[in-house]
Amino acid sequence: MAAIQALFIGFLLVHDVAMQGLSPTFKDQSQTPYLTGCVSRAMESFYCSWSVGTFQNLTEPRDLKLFYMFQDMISPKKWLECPQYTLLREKECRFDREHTQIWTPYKIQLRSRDQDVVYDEVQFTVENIVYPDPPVGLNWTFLSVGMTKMYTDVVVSWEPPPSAAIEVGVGWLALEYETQYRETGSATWNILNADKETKKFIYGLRTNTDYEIRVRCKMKGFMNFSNFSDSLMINIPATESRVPIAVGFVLTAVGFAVIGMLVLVTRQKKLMVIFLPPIPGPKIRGIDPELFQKGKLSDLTSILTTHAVLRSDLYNDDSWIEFIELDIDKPNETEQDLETAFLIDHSASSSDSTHLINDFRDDDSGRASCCEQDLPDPDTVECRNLMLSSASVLDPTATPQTGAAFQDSWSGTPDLYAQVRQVTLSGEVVLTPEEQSHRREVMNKRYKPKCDQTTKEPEFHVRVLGDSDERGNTSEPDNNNMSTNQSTDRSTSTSLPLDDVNGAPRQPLMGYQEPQVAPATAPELTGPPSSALASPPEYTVVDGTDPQNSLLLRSNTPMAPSSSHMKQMPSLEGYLSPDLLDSIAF
Amino acid sequence: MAKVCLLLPVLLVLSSMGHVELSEHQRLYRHAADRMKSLHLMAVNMISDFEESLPEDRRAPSKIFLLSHCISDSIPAPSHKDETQRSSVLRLLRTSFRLIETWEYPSQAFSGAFLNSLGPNVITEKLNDLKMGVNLLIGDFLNGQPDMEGNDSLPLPFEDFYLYLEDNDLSKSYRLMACFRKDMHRIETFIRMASCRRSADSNCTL
Repeated sequence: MAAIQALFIGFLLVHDVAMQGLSPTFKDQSQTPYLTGCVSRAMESFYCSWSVGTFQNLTEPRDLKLFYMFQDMISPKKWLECPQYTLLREKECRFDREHTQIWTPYKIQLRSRDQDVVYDEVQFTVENIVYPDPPVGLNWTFLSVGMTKMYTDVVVSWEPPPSAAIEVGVGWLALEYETQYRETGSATWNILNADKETKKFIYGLRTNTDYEIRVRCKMKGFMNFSNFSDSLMINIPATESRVPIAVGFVLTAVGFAVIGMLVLVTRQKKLMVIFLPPIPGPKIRGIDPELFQKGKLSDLTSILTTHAVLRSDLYNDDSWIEFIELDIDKPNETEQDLETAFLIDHSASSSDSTHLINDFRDDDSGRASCCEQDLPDPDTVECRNLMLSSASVLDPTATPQTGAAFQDSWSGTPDLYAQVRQVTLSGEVVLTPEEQSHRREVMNKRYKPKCDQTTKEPEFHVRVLGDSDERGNTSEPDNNNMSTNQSTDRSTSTSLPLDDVNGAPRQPLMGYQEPQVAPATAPELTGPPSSALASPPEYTVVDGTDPQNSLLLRSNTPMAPSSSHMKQMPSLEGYLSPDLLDSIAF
Repeated sequence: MAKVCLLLPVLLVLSSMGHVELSEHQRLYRHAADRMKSLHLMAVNMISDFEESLPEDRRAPSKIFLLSHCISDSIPAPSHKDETQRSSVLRLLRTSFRLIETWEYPSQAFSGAFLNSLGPNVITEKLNDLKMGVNLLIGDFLNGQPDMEGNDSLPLPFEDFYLYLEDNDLSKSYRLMACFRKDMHRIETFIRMASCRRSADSNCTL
């Protein structure tokens, strides 16, 4: 029983081996001759071989014959004998290129000499029996090694099998190569994916370890592998990797040194600026932010005031905001302005003050031009000029000629008299508020200097009254008050353009404060008799102007002006031209 | 002399254009070769999957009915290596084109049973795409010249060829797949050789 089972198992095994063979056989290879297989190396020729089996009496040549036939539809169904029996081994039939048809089914039969016995038969197509030769010329190249010097990478290269080299070159044969490697002594092979390249990268090989590498090939799209090539033995010692590591350390040190030098060098501001340019700060158009840093507030404020946008913010509709010029801070500029004022005055008219008067224009609301602190307003200069001119009227040294001119200019100007109540420290002369509206109206008709804030405000001018004769000739009794003043007043009276004493908003009379009145005396000028004054009007003679352009008033001696002044001014009769005033001042 | 100076830039441009043209048809060949490789692998996988699906006792006989009576046998095509190498590029391309044509209809039988994962009519679509590519290669080779050998008016093989063979279902399926794989390999070889011939590699002209 056991023997039968063993035989049965053996039969199955043999049958299985036979079925896995290169070509199917129908005969038991132990008894009759059989075909061992047909093989093609480059798909251009093939050979078939057979074995006599146990028929030892068939050792003579031609005891066995091989026939073939094409089994396609177009070829004739005709058996053909082997085109070429090999001479060395008479058990092999070779089909050359002429007799090799690819993609054509072959039927091969192994017959006896008499052809009456078919020992074996196979069917195939040539491309299915292609078993290429193994690749040759295995070689390896060191690729890299890890930092730990434990693992390394290599590249293995080879050549295609010589028997198929041409076919591979022309594209007739497409081969794929499979690489396998293992540690020497290991039983398992590491199999890498097959591809058409004749080189393979192998990563992760241990150093100081023996490795065995082999390659085999097959036709692409088919399963018939070649035999393995001769194994390649490699061993990469760890010492070989020290050299590149040392070089790596050196390079790393050099790199650090270079970086350190760069850091030191870049600390210099110039290079820092080149590599890291400073981010520009916010800029206001027209304003340099360095002004803030340097603290040049004067330039900044000038820019802010002159800037059209900012100006509108400064000068809003708040009419109750007054702008006062403080000349305390800028004495130098005032002197310069005065110099220019005199220059302008001389250039405008030599002796005729009408030009001076006519040049005064009040073409604006009266605020803008006078509100600019830093700009030397030519109108304000003219105002100052007028002040000076008025002051010069009081100069007893004035020439009669100028006095006459002045008389002409002032001929149409009504005489205004006001009682000076007080002269403030700032140089303002406070008059009693009498007939201010009338005076204002009259003055506004004929004389409207630009220094006036509005036309509504009263104006009071400084005038030196001379003889009554002149007064009578020149003055026009526009109002009773004036005539009354003329008749009763024989001393000089001074009137200054003043602010409204009633408390109206002060105007930015920039230049009006220039000729400061010396507060030595407090002359009081009484108004017309219509004013309700208890005491009789008092008049103070203006001696002149001091170098600071302030009016020098004589001490309070009513009705007793200094004879010298009277003498000096008989011809003037109380009227001084602006030229005289200028001559008095300078 | 002036004419030579004028011709020099023209020649340079033409030579550069020639290089550009070569790379263009190389690109076309590369595309066709890639598609062909894909089809061939699909055919191989199809047969191997089919064989694995068979029971053990039926696998051996299937190998016997190999590649006899394929529909493409009627199409004249080079079958020897030397004959193939002697054939012109145009003949190789035209043969490939006709072989693809013979499989347009029978390839529809592949959808469903054997290529469930890929979807219906995948092979047919790939064949159509490849046919278009080979047509482009033929046009590129002719370069505007009229096709003298084309339009032979040879009738296509009988479309229902495989249906009328006296095969059982197993043999019918196996024959279809085996013939398909054979033809795919043949077309791939023809295109590969034509590409090598068109390239500047001197080895291909051996």
